[in-house]
Amino acid sequence: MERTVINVAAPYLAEEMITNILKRLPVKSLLRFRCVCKQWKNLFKTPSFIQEHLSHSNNQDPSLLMVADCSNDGLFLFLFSCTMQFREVDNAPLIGSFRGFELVGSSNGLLCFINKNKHPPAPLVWNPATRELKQVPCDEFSGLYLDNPFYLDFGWCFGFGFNPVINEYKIVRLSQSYSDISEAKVCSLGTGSWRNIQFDKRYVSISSHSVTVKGVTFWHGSDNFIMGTQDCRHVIISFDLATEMFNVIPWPALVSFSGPDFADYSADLAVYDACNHF
Amino acid sequence: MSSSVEAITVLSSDGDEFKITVSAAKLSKPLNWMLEDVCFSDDCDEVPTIEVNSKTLVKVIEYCEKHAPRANSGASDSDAEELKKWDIEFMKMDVKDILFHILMAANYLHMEGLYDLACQTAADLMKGMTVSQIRKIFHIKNDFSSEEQEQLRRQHPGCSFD
Repeated sequence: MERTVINVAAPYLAEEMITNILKRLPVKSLLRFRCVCKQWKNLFKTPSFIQEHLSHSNNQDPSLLMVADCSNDGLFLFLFSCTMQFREVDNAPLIGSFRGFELVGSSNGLLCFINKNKHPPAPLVWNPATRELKQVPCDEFSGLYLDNPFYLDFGWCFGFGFNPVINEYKIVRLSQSYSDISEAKVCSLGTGSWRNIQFDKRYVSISSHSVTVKGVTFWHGSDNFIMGTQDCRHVIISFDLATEMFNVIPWPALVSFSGPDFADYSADLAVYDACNHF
Repeated sequence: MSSSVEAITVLSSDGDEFKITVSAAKLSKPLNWMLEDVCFSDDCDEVPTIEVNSKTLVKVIEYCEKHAPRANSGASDSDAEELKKWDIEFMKMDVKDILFHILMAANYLHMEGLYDLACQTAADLMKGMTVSQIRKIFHIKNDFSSEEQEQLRRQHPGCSFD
């Protein structure tokens, strides 16, 4: 330590110390401080800094995201923090309102919506902290669907999440008709293009929103093999975002089936816990 | 070897002598290793130098003495709460004057708790600072050309370089 700098001005800090301070700043301040110098501006964009910032803020005050669907006025999003603070999340620019939108899921502060005004529904990812919006290119109607007389009966199921193993965000889209899933596609947020993936489970359909836990997306579904009867079996359908493999797990015997509305926070955890016991 | 004395004397980088209790010194890994290696006794005239200036060392020792009882024996939640309040009061210092020195001393003395506290305090203070104030305390030059500044302003309306 140089004597000359003592009490005259702040000493020069090592880069590692500066990074340790910066990772504690809220995103709002980081956006402001990218104008400090080129090095800081570039630092804030590096995957390692983003990772450090994320893991630090995940240990801080986590918030519960609450979605109010007022069908005529669209979606309203609220954050409820540990300190009992309640605040509304601003809408994404260019969208205005979330009319006709549905929330697929949230991961590390990113929110994934689908715009149901489009066919097939177009996903978009919104970062409320940086106010950045990413529209995921929507693959157009393929002839397969247009020619299909049952097209209107197609239902779309989406999943969104982050897999820490591959360090990537992915959106998965399943199209189902009646009691079968006819197509599965996945899109990595990094590349933004859709790829077909194999879904080899027959007579399985999805009847809930998705939940992603530790890089695996889960849906509540039913196994409709016993056709013509009301006796469908409840199952959990999982999709590993890293290996891109689907799995069908029987509904846990010890967990009572509480109806197809699956998006409740505690229910998500309950199902996840149940999966862990297998 | 563990020492038989309760407090040791250390020298600051300015050459001033300071007393620190053994239990407080144990909060620092290097000081703890030194305590294990050197046998301190009343007739031991070895006085280790800590490369930290006197003004900073006073504060570091104050922190160690306050935190030592809790670090050495598990304390209750109410103690932890009280200690947290004490930390906040303790950190009410000027960034320009001593906070960065504390941060460097905590890093040098491997004191994780104090290092985290100093980094967090610095971050909290930075939230209220302007870009040019930030440049000043970190000794950073604005290296954006006027074209680059213009481009950033277009991309991010409202961003300020001052």
